[in-house]
Amino acid sequence: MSSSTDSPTLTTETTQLSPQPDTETAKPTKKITLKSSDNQIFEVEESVAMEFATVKSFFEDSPSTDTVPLPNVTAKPLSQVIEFCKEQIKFKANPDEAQKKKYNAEFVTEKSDKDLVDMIPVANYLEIKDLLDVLNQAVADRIENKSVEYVRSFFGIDNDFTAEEEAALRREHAWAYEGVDED
Amino acid sequence: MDSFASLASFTCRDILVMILRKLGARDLSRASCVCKLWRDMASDDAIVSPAFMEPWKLKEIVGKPVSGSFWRENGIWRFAISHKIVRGDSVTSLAKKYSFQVMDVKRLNSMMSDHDIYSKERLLIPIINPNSLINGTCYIELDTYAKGEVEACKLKMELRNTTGSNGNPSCAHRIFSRPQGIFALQSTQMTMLEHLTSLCCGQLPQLWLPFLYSLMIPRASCVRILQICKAVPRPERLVACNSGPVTEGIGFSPILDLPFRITCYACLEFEKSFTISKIANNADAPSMREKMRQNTSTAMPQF
Repeated sequence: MSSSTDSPTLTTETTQLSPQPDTETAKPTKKITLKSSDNQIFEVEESVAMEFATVKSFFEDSPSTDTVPLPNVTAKPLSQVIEFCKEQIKFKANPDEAQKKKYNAEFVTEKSDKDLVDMIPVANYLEIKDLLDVLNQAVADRIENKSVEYVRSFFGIDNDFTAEEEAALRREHAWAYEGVDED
Repeated sequence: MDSFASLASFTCRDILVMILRKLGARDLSRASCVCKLWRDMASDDAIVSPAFMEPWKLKEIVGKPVSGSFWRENGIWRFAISHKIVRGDSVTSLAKKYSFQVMDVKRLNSMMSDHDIYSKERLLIPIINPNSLINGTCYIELDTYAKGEVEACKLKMELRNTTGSNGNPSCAHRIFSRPQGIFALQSTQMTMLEHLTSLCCGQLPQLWLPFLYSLMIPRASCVRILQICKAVPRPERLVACNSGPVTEGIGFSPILDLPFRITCYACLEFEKSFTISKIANNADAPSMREKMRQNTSTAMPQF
């Protein structure tokens, strides 16, 4: 997979971009290691890792560990989620709602459909509420007024209806098919 | 790996609920055609009713509709204020009070004349200003007034507004459920109006009755009237959304002296229950059809 090669560079890049919160708090930065299901290692600052409720509770349970295994998470969506959380911490340090909104909007618009769809379960697993909300809204916006076929391929869902069942459903919901966007 | 990830997540209820909550009523309706899980989730009242309320900023809807199809259309025409008629009320006095068009109210209440008000307990008043729905609590109720139709094909529901603290029961918001009950037309030989006449055993949404009577279309089952040239101030009120068009045509009303366009829609749910034999049972049908022929043979344009 291509993600295994480009994601580590992505993280080191963003780490360099965000030294401000640490200089402000003037604390020595504690690093936490996250290990994705495809054995990629991500070193993140503690403040970022604490944004992940799942990781946070993991540390509360066993404070002595330094590597958190994330068996349900692959590298690429994880690197994107880390990128998002780093920005959110900056906004926490000096709140600017307008900037935050702008960033959140840009964050999702530049992502591909697949990236978004892959990130949602990660955000859900790591329990990052803000990100989940942003992602769900983005996905809802992208499937708005789209055909059923489009939605299926968007999420990679198999049609499990029989031909008769589907025809009946479509008749029942015929009103909703008027004026649907081209795929 | 990737397909597994997305498969696992989007067939996972928690995430799906969050996404569906962000969709509107129309998108939800299509979402229920995606797969079985989506169908079950997207037709859940807990998901559908917020989507129904959202555009109108309703605070709450109380009650459970008879059929899930109730939630599908949420135009403002679905709502009405139900005014309890008290001594001294007349159409004109109420028209002043609620500032409505007399014609709209008559249509909504199937009134042929102003005097019909005295035989009614309640008068339904269309909502013109959507702001009046903001933060409203609405009750879904069967519209007893149209009960025959309701029982036959769940035509109408009523949403009654409790109007908060003063608890004035005379004020109610009501919702019509989507008119249904069309059946497929076989013949393409008949003229449009004859098509409609032949449907005379069907269930007609009450609010269309006076209007269609005025067009000499007795109890047409379900017609979608796309355009009525100048005949009706708000033709969208008459629009019933349904399955694909069966037949379409231009009509001419000898009474109104106006042309109109009609599309008939088929609804397969009723194909079985509505058979031609039912037409024979309707005493009105043959005489009406005969009357129609006499009336329209001269005035009818080509279809």
